[in-house]
Amino acid sequence: MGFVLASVRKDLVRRLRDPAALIIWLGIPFVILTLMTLAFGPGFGGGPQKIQAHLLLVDSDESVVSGLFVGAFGQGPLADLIRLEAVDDEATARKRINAGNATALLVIPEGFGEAVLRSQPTELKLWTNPAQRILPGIVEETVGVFVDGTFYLQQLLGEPLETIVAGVDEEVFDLSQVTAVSTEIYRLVERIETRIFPPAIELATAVITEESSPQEDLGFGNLFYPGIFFMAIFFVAHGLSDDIWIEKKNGTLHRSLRVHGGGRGLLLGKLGAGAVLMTALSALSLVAGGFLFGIAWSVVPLAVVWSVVSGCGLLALFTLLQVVARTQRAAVLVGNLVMFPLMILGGSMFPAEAMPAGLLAIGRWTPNGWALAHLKKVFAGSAGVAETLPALLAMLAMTAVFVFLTQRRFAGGFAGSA
Amino acid sequence: MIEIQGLRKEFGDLVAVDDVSFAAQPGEVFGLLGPNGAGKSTTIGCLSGLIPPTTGVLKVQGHDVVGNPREARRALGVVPQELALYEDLSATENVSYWGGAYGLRGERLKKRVAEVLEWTGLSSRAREPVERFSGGMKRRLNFAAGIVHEPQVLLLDEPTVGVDPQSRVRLLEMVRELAAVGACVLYTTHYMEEAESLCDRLAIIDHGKLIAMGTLAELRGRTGGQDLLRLTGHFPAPVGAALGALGDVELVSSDEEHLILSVAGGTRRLPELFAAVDGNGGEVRETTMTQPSLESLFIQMTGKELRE
Repeated sequence: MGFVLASVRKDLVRRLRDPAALIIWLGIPFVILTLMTLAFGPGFGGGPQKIQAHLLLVDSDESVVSGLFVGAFGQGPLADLIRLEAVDDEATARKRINAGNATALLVIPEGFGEAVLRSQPTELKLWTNPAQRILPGIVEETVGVFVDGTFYLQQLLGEPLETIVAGVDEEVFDLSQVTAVSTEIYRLVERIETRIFPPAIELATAVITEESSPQEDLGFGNLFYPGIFFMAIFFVAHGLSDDIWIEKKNGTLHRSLRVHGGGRGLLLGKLGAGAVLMTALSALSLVAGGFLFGIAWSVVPLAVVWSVVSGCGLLALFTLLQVVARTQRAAVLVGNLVMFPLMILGGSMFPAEAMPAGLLAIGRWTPNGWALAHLKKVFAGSAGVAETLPALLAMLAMTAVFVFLTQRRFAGGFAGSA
Repeated sequence: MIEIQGLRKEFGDLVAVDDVSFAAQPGEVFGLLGPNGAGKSTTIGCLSGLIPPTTGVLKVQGHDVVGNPREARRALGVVPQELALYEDLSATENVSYWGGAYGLRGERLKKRVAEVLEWTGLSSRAREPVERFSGGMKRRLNFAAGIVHEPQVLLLDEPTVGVDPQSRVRLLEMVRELAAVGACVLYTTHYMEEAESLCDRLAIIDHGKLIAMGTLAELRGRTGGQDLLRLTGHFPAPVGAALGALGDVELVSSDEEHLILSVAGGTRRLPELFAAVDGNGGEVRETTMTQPSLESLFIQMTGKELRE
């Protein structure tokens, strides 16, 4: 144990003497995330994106009717679909449409309300953003429906509405007028009720309850985030593993083997130092993930533990690959030959959800693929401490096997004469 | 103490060490002398538990190196032939690391680190990275790292190779001081003068075999007090035969251009020897005479120079 602690301390001090490498390692996930944010836009990390049309409105009429017409956009689910922004000046609004800063511009002309009530022709103007395809269509359809609705309403309730408007204009309402309008509307409704109820077509709705997978809850950014985060762990593990060649060249590996349990102590020390560095990396990345992708703070500690243990497993694997090679150059080659396919198969470069079923099946059997799949479960909250504990033990067992094989390789001649 | 009995180490068909036995006591500097490739480092490797012996028994402070490696290695300090240091760490950090590796902790570790750095003359530059050190300073630090845990048995594998004369003197002084306080030191070297000045007892090893062992006086005595005479020139076959026929002259090795003779009272007998060469058609162009020493013993026993 003494050797392990001394080795951890020594390796950490050596790492801190090379801050550039440390910063690069710690910065890898942030650099990749920044690049992806630049590539996919600022909404990349915001979870499921809200699709919303942005409608500019110039209401030159400002009547009760135009108010009702505009107010209809804020009713029910339509309010989520269309964001309305009142604009005073049509020219400014046109400029914004031309600049692509909104989906559409609706201009209600002066006298619109009067024309509707008196069944006179009137004209609404709608400009749409040519750079967008779907959202302007939705706005156009919605305005069309509202225009039709206004027409039929006018046909049905034209007379009482005219009375109301006249009252509003004259600012005089007596009780008899109110009673008369109310009665007329009631009769009208009673008359058409037999025609519209029951409806000729009844729309049956059913809520489809689908078992949501963690990925479906994560959104686009979160789909990539775990893979990118794990890629950073990969790079750190790979980068740390070649230190065994420096130990060999320094003669310190050979000297360590002369101490009882020296080979094991040296390896465990490297894993310990790696664990400290990976804890810092994981904590920073996961806190960033919490802010950027809404990863629940409650899962961060477990995610850190799992990431660090998995990272140490990868470090042990890469160290084994280093000592299997006869030269450092060969070790770099072998390391890269193993690392990149593992990253691809394991879902670090592309999300597992986007992979063909065959590759996905293979990827699940790679150490990193398995670790990443479990990490996603931790993120989604479907794997807690109880579910993670067996996985941790399995990962530690795998690490122990790699350490044992590396020690065997030390004895088998890797340490050399010096 | 160190006990080695019947040590044999084979690497495939190569027998690196063959039936080597010796013992070294506390307070003693025991020298293992031999040319490069003689089997010295393999012997040290077996003793330190790094190389498993093919056969033989090796004990350190009574602990079997194979059967009880933990205790055996705990008593050992090793200063390897090559530098084994972290260049990016300071002298203090290096020595602290190796002290920690051998189980030293806390105040005791700090105290020992300060002591060995002071002792090796490195305390004034203790905080500097080793990469800034000269070769001699690195050697001293390498030595400090091997003794920080106060080992009872110290294995020094050619620690002065490539060291400047000043640092070499200091290193040899340190070895003597360690032995004086009771450490058992096994010192391998191929420098005769080093072995002669430092070691209380010596074993000479060549081709994996122990060919002589004893105190310096005993080994010198084995030369029979004879001088070693090296002749260079032209020596046809009858010359060797004629010289060999002279009394108290032993022909150690010969070829057409070189002769090595072991002669009692060499200076006195030079005219007689030259006459024998001249009389048999030979010619002497260069003569070197060495008085009885380890080197002459080695040449006498193996027929070759130690540095070959």
